[in-house]
Amino acid sequence: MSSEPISRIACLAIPSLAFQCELVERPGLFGSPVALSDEAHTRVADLTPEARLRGVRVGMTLLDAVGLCPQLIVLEPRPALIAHYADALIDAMATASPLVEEAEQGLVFADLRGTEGLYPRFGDFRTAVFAALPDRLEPQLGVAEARFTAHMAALRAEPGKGILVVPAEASDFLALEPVSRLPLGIVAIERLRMLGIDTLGAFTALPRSAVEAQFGFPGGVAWLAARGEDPVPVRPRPWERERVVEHVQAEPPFISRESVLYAIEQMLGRALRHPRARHRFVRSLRLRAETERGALWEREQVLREPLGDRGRLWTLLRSLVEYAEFPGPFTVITLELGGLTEESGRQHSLFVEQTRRREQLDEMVRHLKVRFGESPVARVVEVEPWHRLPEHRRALLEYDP
Amino acid sequence: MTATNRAKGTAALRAIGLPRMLHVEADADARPTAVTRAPIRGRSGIRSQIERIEDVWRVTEAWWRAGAQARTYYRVTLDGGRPLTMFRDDATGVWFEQPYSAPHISDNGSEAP
Repeated sequence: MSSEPISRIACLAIPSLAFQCELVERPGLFGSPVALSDEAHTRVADLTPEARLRGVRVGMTLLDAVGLCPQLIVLEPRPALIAHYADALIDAMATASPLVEEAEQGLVFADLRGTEGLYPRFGDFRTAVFAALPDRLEPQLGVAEARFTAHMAALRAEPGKGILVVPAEASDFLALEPVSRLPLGIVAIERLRMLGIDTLGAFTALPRSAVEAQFGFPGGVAWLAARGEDPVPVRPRPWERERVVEHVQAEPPFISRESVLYAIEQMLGRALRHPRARHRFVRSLRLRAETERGALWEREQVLREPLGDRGRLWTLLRSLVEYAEFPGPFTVITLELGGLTEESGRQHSLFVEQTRRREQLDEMVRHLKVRFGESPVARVVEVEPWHRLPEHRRALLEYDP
Repeated sequence: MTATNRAKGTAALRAIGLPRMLHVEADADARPTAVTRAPIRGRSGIRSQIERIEDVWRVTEAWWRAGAQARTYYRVTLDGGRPLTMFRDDATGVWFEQPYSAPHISDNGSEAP
């Protein structure tokens, strides 16, 4: 299939990213019975085929699993590591297309329209993406004309391999997939199963109107997706040039809150001096910190109005950190200034400006009142606007803030 | 209503749009022919000839009361084309300068709210 022309949407997937990360980090575990615990460290979240052969199953308590397989190696998920590899997937896809969407960690889509000149054949694209990936990480690649088809192709591909589905074959390609793959809720899928509809082929054999009558608009979208005509587009993340990212690594780790604050303040200064951020305002702030043990601490703040002032940005960042509970000493801290605006000036809101002016006026009047004993400012108020004699209609009321 | 209230702790209302005294020369029919404004801040008043009278109207306030106010307003054009609105207090015969606009009438057509 590598000689086929490229299609519109690509999907790069690692079905169990948390588990794959650990296996990549510890290659010695290949071929051993290994299980990954859930976040509560009580049940099995994923396992190797070797562990499954010994009777271990997903959802089993760790105690039961170890009882069944005493050699079982249990790993804890490390969110920072997962985030690192998830970012690597995005970066790999971004080397081939500027329009990249991370649907979830370990599932990345790219819109390939316009890249035909760079990658005229599927094989060229696959080589470019895989070359940009970290060693030993073997995601599955699917390329198709529609998003859902590309996703299914990626799930069916072998690790480190890719599948291209041409439009004419999309419907047949999807026909044998189980209905659980459909972008529908659990209740809807259960209903389909109760009706004896187990595959996408059986699902698309139904009239679209009947599906929409039962499942509404999402049913219609699922029906189109199952025919290889998924209308859902790739929703690309913001352009790279709209972000500035600064990192700081600490050896020894940052233990005190003060040292974390000091590091963030330094990063903010560096980020604002970056040519990409100069004379532009920031719409969102994101802080991410990793501990020695791979725990992740993350905070994001979307600003009510774009800011370019270092002092105000620092106040916001400090408020994110000052009362936060950290999972441990930090080894890496990342600051991201996102949504950089194009403008270098500010269009004030009419009403915000009025409020500020009113506050300034109140302050000034209070000072004058202290000095002169009475307010030198008055408001014109209507008293008897219907009166025939003009001097009775309005009066001055002392302005007393 | 327009009396100044300077009592401590209450907001003070001060009248605005008060009439300012004017010296007016009138003809035999008591129609104004020239005006001299009252001196302001040490500057002597300037005499102006009235070129023409644009409009005349009477305003009587609470005519049924003993202290009713009655005024005859004149809108005139002075020499040089400058407009001026003034009135004669019909009770005292004293002249005043005062801009005048129609009173605000509420939506239901009545003068009072």
